[in-house]
Amino acid sequence: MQMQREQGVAFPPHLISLEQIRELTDIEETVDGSVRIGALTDLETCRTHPLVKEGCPALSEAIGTIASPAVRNKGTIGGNILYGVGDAVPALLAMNARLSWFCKNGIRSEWLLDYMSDQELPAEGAILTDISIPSLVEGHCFFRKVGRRETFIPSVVTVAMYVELTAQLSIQSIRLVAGGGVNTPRRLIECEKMLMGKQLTDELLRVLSSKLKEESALIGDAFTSADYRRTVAANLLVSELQSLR
Amino acid sequence: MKKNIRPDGKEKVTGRLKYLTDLAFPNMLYGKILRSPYPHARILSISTDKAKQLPGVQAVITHKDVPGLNGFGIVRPDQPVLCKDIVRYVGDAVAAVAADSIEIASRALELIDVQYEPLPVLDSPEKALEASAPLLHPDGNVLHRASFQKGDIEAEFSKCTTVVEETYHVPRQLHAYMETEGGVIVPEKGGGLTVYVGTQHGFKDRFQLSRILGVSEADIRIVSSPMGGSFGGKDELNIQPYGALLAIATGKPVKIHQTRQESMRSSIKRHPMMITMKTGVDRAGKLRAHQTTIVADTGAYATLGPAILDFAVEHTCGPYLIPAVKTNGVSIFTNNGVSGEFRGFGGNQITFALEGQIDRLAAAIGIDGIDMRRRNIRNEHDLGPLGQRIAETNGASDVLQSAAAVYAEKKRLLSNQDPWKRIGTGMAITMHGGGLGFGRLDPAGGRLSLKEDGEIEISFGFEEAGQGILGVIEAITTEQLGCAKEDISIVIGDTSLVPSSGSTTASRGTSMVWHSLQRLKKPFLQKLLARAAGIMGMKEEQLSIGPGGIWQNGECRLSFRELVSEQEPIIISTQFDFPVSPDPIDSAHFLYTYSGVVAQVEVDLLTGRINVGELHQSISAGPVVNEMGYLGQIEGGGVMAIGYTLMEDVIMADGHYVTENLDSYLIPGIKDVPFDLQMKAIESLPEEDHHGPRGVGEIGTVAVAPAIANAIWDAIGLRVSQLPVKPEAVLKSTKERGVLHGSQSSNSGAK
Repeated sequence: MQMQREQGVAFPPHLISLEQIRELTDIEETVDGSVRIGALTDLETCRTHPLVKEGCPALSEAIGTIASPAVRNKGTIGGNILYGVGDAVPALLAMNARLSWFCKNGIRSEWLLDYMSDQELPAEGAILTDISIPSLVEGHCFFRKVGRRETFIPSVVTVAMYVELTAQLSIQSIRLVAGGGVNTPRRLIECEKMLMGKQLTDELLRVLSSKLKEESALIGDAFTSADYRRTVAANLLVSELQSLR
Repeated sequence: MKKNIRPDGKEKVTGRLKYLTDLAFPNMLYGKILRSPYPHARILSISTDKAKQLPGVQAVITHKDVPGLNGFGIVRPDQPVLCKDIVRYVGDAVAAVAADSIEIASRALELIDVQYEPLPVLDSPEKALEASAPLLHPDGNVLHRASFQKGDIEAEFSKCTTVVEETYHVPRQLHAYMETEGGVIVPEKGGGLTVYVGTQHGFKDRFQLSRILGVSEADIRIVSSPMGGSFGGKDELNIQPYGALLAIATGKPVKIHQTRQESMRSSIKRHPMMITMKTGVDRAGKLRAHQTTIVADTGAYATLGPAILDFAVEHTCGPYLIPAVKTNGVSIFTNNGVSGEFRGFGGNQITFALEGQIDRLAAAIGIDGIDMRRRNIRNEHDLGPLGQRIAETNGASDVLQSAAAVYAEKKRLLSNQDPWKRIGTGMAITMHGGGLGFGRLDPAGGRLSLKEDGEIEISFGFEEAGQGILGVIEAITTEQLGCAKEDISIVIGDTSLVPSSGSTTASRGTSMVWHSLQRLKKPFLQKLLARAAGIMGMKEEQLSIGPGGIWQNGECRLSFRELVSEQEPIIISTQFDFPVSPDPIDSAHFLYTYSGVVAQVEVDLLTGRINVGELHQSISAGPVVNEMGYLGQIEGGGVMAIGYTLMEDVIMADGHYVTENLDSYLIPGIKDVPFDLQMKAIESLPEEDHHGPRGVGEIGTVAVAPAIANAIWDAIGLRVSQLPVKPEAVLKSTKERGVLHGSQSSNSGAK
């Protein structure tokens, strides 16, 4: 918001602080083994919490790439999600996170994927209360952010992936995500479908690479072209899959 | 080498030291400057009525309110303080406001109605040189031409077995000083003005302001900043004229502090240049012919553009001996942002091109770059690059030898585990002139006095902007006089208190402090000792100066305080000029410093991103005065140059800034800085040298870019000819040449 203000976007006339609602800053493991993170948990607490570090290391890694330590001490996980293009989002999408909202009629819950697809609050005046990440013990998680500098920098490309392989190294389950800059992070559903049940052959990875570029549909700006972003997104995802063989 | 804490060190790290822009005075107003929305336009009308009516607005000024010369510029005053009929870039000022608050001043700017008629925008030197291009200044669109020629270039090219030709493009770089332009201008009761604004040359500011305000220089006092950074960027006037005019108009102190966006829009930048070089070697690997054209985009106004082009022309051959040289440079007015002074002063641009040529030629004839340089390097007694005699040192060979050893070691220790990364090592060398050059007024001086309280006061007209001149003055003064740092007080940065010492630019401060002390110390010490001898009833030869006062037989016998006499104050002053070559060659330098840089990079084949893992600089600049200050200059310069090489570029489109703030114009963060940042100071000078320590304010920035470029070539076989190096270009190149597909092969297989 501070950066947008510098760029000339008007600051809202009134801000309401929810900081005193303690229930919004918890991190806990629920009965089904998923990790529930209160939306107002600051990013640094989130990044370093044992449940996050051990249970969802890719999320911890993704949060570590957001802004600077000072910003991470102040900014919240909920804020990063509602920003729309926050760097935590690709990791959370790959982990198939759910969001809970406090609405007029009580608590509503939805997939992050559904929220990201239409970018609309589930109800007027809804407040994001928590984020739930299902247990991910079965699979492999991956996140990578590329910016125009090493740190304290908006993303050019972000990619994330969750994959489960069978004993025969064919793909049992996969979620692929690409975003970066003004590109809203999104799941690459067609690529996922193509990979399901397949062995990771050179030929498959070659086809995947061009399909990833196409489906990610990342757009460019004055500093980095669309082609560069798509190529990098594909390179990072393909090389990670290649390393699993 | 001395590892002293700098005099301003503790105050700085504890945050106690105040920026001048933190100053506040009773009844202080806030100033804002209205700048042109167009890169080139005719002003049809300016109406300030509505702005003046806004409650809280105390003054609105336009060109009509400039009593003296409506222009400024160090070389020539061609930049209007407030434009009257034409605006030539988006930073051109049209009006200024003083109000009770920043918010009111900002609102008042919106109420000033200026009608413009847009004119064709010359957003590149090429466009500015077209026959149909409108003239930006009465003498046309060429600010300056500079050339140098020696030998028969065609004859020498015909003797070459290998010739390499390349065009290099280097970007517009922002100084990115911590404190943006600003300060407070205070009208004094007696009628004078005090200007509390960071600068690099208080006396020059005083001169320029007196010309603008139509008042005597004696009525203006300039107090400069103890910090805030400058890097060349605050040598030219910036907000001072507006603050001064508004302070006079309102009779109240006026603070102006530009936002980062305002600073980006109006500040000077490093000259973007297009440099074409054609260079040939013979069978023996000897350089024979070197032909260069330089096209510099100097933007809308002159400032120091001519001198920067001259400097680039002088350094076209660097530390190499080449029988035939032909260099033609031209600096062109455009409607882009104003280019001007920046640490390195044209040397960084030309060195990137020259060292690029050396590496390309070495590869073309199949020898390594170090060998190539050895075959062509200048020796101690060789003439300078313009054929002038220079202060003789073995700096060029020394830094080459040092860098060669570092290079070999880094190559030997290379290891790479990641299949998607390539590591490469590169090196480059350079020589860099200090001082303003032959034929330019380059006075220096200082003053040493025994104050009433017994303190020894050393005083210069230099400015501290954070670079460490205070530490240099303390170290040189105590060493030369033999006293302790507690015995001295340093006075700089206030034109009402200090002697004129010339500008704090061109790596001249350290050198001039040392030269001053050489001149001051003997007469000063003689006077002190003579007086002490009188008081003590001893002979002068029995006494010496030491910490605390006058020493005899290993003991301090008389304090400096006891030497004070109101009847006969002891004040010694000196005035002299920066040493120049005995050969009258215009702009030629005499004192040079040298650097040999080794860089190691890691190229990510998946993203094209380059990480500089190691940077080692060998520097030859005479004895080190203050070890931490010296190291800080070289390391800081190195980091600034990494930014220049890999990310910094003030992008302009149609005369407008695309990069408007530090969120899109990127400077390196700590993670872009090599973990392994090293420096070796080569302190040796010939016995007969009597010029002492040279300044190192610039040398650490000059040869870093070509060393990194060379390392990139070593890593992935890409020849870089454009800065900053974009990951996109790296990725494209590796893809085209199949580097990525060959990822399982060994590191050297990439080439």
